Amino acid sequence: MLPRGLTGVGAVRKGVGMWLPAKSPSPTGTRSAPMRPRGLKGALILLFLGLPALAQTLTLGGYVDKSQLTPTLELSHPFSGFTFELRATREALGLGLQRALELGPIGRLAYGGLVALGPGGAGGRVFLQGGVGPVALEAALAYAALPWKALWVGENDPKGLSGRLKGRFRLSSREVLALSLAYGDAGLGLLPWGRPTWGLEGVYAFREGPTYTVGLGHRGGPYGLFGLKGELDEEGSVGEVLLRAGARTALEARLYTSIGEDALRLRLALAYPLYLALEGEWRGLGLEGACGQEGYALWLRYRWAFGSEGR
Amino acid sequence: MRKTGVLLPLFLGVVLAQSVSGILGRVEENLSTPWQAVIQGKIQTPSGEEALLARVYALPKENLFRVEFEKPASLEGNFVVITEKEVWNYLFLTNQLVISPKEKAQIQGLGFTPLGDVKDLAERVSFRLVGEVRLEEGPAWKLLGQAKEGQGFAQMELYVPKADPRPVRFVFLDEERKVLAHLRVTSFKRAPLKPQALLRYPKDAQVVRR
Repeated sequence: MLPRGLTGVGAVRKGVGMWLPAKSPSPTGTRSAPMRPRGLKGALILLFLGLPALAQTLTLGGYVDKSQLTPTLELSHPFSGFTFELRATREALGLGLQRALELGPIGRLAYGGLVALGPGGAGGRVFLQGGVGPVALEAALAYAALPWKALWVGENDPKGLSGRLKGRFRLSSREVLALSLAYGDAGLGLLPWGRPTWGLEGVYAFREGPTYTVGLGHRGGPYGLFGLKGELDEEGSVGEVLLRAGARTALEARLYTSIGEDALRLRLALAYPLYLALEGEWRGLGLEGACGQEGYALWLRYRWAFGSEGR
Repeated sequence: MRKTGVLLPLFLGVVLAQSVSGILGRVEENLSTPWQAVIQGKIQTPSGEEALLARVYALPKENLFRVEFEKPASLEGNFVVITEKEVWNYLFLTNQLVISPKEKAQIQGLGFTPLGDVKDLAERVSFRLVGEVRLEEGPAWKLLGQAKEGQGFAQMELYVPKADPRPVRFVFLDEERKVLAHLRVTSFKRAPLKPQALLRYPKDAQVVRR
């Protein structure tokens, strides 16, 4: 649940059609045998066949880890000033609404909520994120009767309460101060990394050509943070490396560039205790993979955009 | 005689209306090739008066404009791109590019952005010619515009030098004639701009489409 991309810029969640800006959650243990709600399968078949026709974006995928193999479906559609979102796996269904307050060049505030139903339980969360002038805020609060992993693939927050609060303040035109407090998974990749716990992090980022980042955090012990981010060419390609070292040690590298007209996004995370996460996205095709002490996970998705979403 | 008395205001109205459209037409023609400029001045914000400095890049034939903010410091790094159909708002702090259809876009307070897009400006503000004034740039027409609803200002004064017809000063006013912004155009020059340069944004930005 530690926020990604703490350089003060580019801290927003990547991913194809993901709901919230940070990866959540990490289950505290193995989950019980799945109980499939009656009728859910039929409803899901209808959803898979019918609703995509109404979607603004539609993402279909397949997810596999040691305990499950499931198709995934995500779709979003504008509705009366809101964006309606739906996501489904073989055993879980999530419905969400979000909207945003647009302030032009001054800023933007998005807010919304999600209700998710899974095998034998439900969960919900609300969020607010955005920035106005020199201040940006990211807040999310969630409660679930079962680990979030059972409600959506790749989410690893524990059952019960979880959440995060992160603020960024622009000290000057070149300096950003960020503070975050979170409870949940570290958010390094598809699989949990360590046990869900409290995390506190403070980061100072300054831009002098590239953006340099230094920070301190505490998550099961103290750690330091160092980052470097900068543009790599005239086309606006961006490279970023971020190292957390101490009680938590993880190296993350990101590359954002384009092949022809299409954006290519790559992310690699390497951590100790041993954990490897890889992500890539190009032309609507997304691939995420992770392996660590919990085994492995792989998620392949393809996203279609319709109407004004298409370019 | 009586007839003439009735017709005179109408006749004058037609002449002045033609003058305004003539002036705006000359501005449009003068700004039809690629150019760039700096806009600076003072604006009223919720926290008081602040300095504004922005660089404007224009490709009028392609209907493409880009405004990069340098002041106030809280907006440095933010930019707006206006295309024929869309408005892009890039927000540095959250690293988001918010793309909106023009009809949904929030460009309040940015009446100066399409300073080369006279047709668009005339659609949002109805101008009348107030008279002529002498500026540093030489004799200039002073136009007073009444904004249509939802522009973020009530009136706008626009100053256009006769020798080089392009807007050089803007004054935005609210309903009580209080000055919301007083802006000047400096460092104007013709420049060989490329559309790709105006559409450029950091590749790691989160693109949000409305």
